[in-house]
Amino acid sequence: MSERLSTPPPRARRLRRLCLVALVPVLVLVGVVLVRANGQSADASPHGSSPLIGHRAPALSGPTVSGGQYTYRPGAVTVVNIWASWCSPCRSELPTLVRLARQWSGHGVDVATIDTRDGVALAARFLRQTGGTGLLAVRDPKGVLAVAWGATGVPETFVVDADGIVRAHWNGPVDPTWLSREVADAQARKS
Amino acid sequence: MRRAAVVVLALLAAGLLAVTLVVGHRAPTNAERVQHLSGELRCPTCVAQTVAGSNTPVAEGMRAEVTRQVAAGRSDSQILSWFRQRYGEDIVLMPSHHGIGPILWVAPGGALAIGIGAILWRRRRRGADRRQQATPEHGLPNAWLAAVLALAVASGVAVPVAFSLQHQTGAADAAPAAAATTSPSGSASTLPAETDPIAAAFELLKSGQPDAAEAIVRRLADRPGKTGTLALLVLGLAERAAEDPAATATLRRFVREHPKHPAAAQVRRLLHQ
Repeated sequence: MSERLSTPPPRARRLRRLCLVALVPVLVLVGVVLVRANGQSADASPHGSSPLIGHRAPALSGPTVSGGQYTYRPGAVTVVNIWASWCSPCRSELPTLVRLARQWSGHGVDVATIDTRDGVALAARFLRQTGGTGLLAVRDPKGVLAVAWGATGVPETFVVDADGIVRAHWNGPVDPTWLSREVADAQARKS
Repeated sequence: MRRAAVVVLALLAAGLLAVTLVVGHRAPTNAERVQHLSGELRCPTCVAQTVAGSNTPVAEGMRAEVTRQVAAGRSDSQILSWFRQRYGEDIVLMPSHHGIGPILWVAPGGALAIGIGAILWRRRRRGADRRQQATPEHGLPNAWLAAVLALAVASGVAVPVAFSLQHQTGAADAAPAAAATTSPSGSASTLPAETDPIAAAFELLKSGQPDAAEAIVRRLADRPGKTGTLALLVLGLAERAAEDPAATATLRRFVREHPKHPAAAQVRRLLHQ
């Protein structure tokens, strides 16, 4: 044993071993990073990956498009949708949301929307055109409410349970089947 | 006498140094803090841009929120952690002190310390060996020592590389989403907003700043060619967004002058609403 250690291996062999050892941490780290990055891109599906899921819903209050005032308080399952009149996918999404809001009305489910980075007259006209007059829309001219909800674009939809915990998130025009299911799940949690 | 002069001079120098340090190290203004924090936040819909360098709606909203929180007296770390809670760890460019963060902070320093330690240890051993004429098997084999050093250096290099790679990959993932949200619908303008004033104005219009958009395109609307055509279109849309009564006349002029433009049909629909 001591004989073998006392005679150092040839220089080239030593160098090769050195390179191999040096390569190990590089490969391990690059691998870890790539796996993490893949995980992230898989999360970027419409079934949103908001870090808010499982946490208390951010504050939502302010003047509404119709001239009222709104402050969100836990107590009912609440669907929070973020939209703007300049967003064309929102135009196709809004009638669905209005239909569901009417269907849920009186059944312990509220729909509160955030009209982000928009003019009040444009928003009111947009609601008129899409049959959404009367839909609760909190004004967010600077976009800070949308940011408080961790939104990256419009439209986005969140489902908040009766205890005020965010339960689900959807990126883009919401799928009504998904939304109905998530709302039912959130209602089931209450009991 | 001479000693007294030296003492006086030394005191004077110390005083000046203290004054310089106090004056030079003033607290940053709120605007400077907003700028700094916006530079720490990654724009979630952009490719390799910070919130400070982007004009997308979400970046504008994030800047407005940073401004609000700075004005409310919240600390830098409180503000950054507020954004982490909503957008995840990756929203902040610097690694945090949670999760993988501590490894990224400690690894380069640790690797360096191991490397220096190994060199010092070897030197001491060598000195001792030389003095005592000891046999080489008492020392660490050369190959192993070299391997430890290489490991230290490699991890020192790999950690920052891996971290920057992680951010680039994240940015690349966001690219299709950014392209989807920033390309003007209908009209095809592929130039980046920085080089194309029409695209820049369109971005401003979409982000709810019709006045700023109008200021850019008004001077271009009378130009001949494609620039003038698009400028006229964006001007009309910006006026409409700003609820300026002149919008109808501008959009009518666009339809009259460019009846075959791909956007003309949509503008006609807008005019009939």
